[in-house]
Amino acid sequence: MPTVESFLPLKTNWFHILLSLAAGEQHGYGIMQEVSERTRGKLRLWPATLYGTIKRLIEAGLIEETDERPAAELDDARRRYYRLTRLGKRVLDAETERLEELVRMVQSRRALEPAR
Amino acid sequence: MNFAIRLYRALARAFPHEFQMAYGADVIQLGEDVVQQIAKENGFLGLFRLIADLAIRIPMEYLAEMRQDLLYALRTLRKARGFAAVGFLSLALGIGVSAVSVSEVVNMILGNAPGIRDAGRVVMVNDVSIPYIDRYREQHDLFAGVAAFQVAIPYNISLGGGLNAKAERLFGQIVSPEYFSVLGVSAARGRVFAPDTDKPGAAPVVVISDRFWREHMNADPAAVGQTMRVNGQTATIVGIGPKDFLGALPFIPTDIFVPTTAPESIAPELAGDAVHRRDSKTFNALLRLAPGVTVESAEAGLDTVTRRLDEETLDPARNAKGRRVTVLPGGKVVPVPRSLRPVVLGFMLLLNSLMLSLVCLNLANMQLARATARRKEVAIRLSVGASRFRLVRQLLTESVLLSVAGGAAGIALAFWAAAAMQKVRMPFPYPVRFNITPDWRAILVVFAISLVAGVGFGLAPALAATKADLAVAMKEGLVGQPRGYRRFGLRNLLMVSQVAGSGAPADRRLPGNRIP
Repeated sequence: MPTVESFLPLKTNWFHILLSLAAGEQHGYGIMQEVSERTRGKLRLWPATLYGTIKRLIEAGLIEETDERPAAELDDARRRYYRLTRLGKRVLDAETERLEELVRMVQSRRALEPAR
Repeated sequence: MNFAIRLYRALARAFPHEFQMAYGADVIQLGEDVVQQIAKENGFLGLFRLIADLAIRIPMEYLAEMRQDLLYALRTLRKARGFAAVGFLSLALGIGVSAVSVSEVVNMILGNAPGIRDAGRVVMVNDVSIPYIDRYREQHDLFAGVAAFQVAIPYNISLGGGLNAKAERLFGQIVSPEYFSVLGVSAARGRVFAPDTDKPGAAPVVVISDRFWREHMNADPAAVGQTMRVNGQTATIVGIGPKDFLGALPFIPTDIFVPTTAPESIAPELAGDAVHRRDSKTFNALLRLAPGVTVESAEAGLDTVTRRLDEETLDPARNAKGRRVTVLPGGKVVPVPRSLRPVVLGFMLLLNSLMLSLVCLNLANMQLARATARRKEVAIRLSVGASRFRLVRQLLTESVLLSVAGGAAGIALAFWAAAAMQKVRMPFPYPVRFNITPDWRAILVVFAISLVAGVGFGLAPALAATKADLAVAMKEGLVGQPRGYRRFGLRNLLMVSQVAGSGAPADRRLPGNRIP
């Protein structure tokens, strides 16, 4: 069983997919749209890259396919849905903490610098 | 845009089977869903990125599968240690021995003798007398220089010049004063022989090899000018040859060079006025071709001159039919006539190919036996959706892995064997030096053969194993024969070839195995 730390630092694509699934199950198209909106178009997960990454995330045990579907009016019957596993949640939390720590370090350093 | 969608669909179908089964439809659907939006937002560049994304991911997925195959192959080979060990060892031995023997032949026949300038322009003629050689020297339009020499001459050598010094038997050459200039060799220290300085009746002199100077004189800087006893007579060392130079035909390494002007007491081979007698055909002529002269024209010219001389001297050979003179390469390690080179090389290649094919047959047979034993595993994997192509590739990965590992070990073995064989003493009356540094070209060819054989001989068993009837195989498990086998099947054929091939090299009736 791989440890949470062995996944850190997370690759950008991995982080964004996990983040998109943090709120609940989602399909590939939904993940793609959400990442694009969240990054204001700066990061686009192209289809082959998206499914290649999903495949690796499933193999790593961070996400899984789910049979649970959202409410009928939101469900797209053609698509497969994915959700975070317990390990996936822990990895996402650990990565978020790591990034927060980095930001804190940068901010405290800036506070020490004399004003120009 | 229609073209972009069609191209996208076609490319998406090129994903590896397993990826396609799991995500192929999703990738196509997502592409179709977003293509309009991408075209609107990013135009042509966006469509290009969409296609490029596929084009990059497809090889990456194949690489990922290959990595999986490799890891799986490593695990299975680790489990089947006996199989892996036998396969690995037979390949390593086959490749190692072939690489050494092919390297040896390539080095000896094609390799230039060390230290000789422009060695390809030096030729030699065996069994001639010095008067003939003197006449050859007059053919200035054909030759830039001509010398006489005798090889493998034993000398009793003692250093220090004293009568009581311990004598050692060493081998050298008797050479005419032109010898070094014909070879384009100059002394590392002192001087070499030259027609102007070395004349009959002068005080006895010798030139020694760099090897002799280092091994017997501890590389003494004052060696030139010292005396040594050669066959009991005192001779002065006038020069030391350059590093690595062991004379013409260095498969019989030369440590001492004695000039043809030396007295008989030093060189008994010169007794009876051998230098002037036309019937004393104990010398070899060493000839450097004049610029622009081909070996063929030199041979034709020498033939004419020799026939004329035979007529003049009423030599019995004058009545012989056919060519009188055969020109041999003089700058090579071993002087194999050019016409014989393809035969010698071909024979060695054939012999080694036979040995390698035995190794491959052995491997194929082992793999076939193993594939039969693995039918259940194969059947289960096929039934859970693995493609036959993928399984064949998986089995092939194992044989290629074995080939590469065996090949690498074989190359290591080749270097070790080459070093070990340098020390072996051959049953000749004079020391013979085999120049068997493994030749990288030979190694490359042998390695490529083993790799191709690994694929080729891995393929048939892999195809046979994956052809099994699923239901039957899973019920029978390890028992029974896969469909497609007859009583005289592939395995029997391999076995028969292997036994026949093993017997052939030992068959005394075959040419090349005759013992005189």
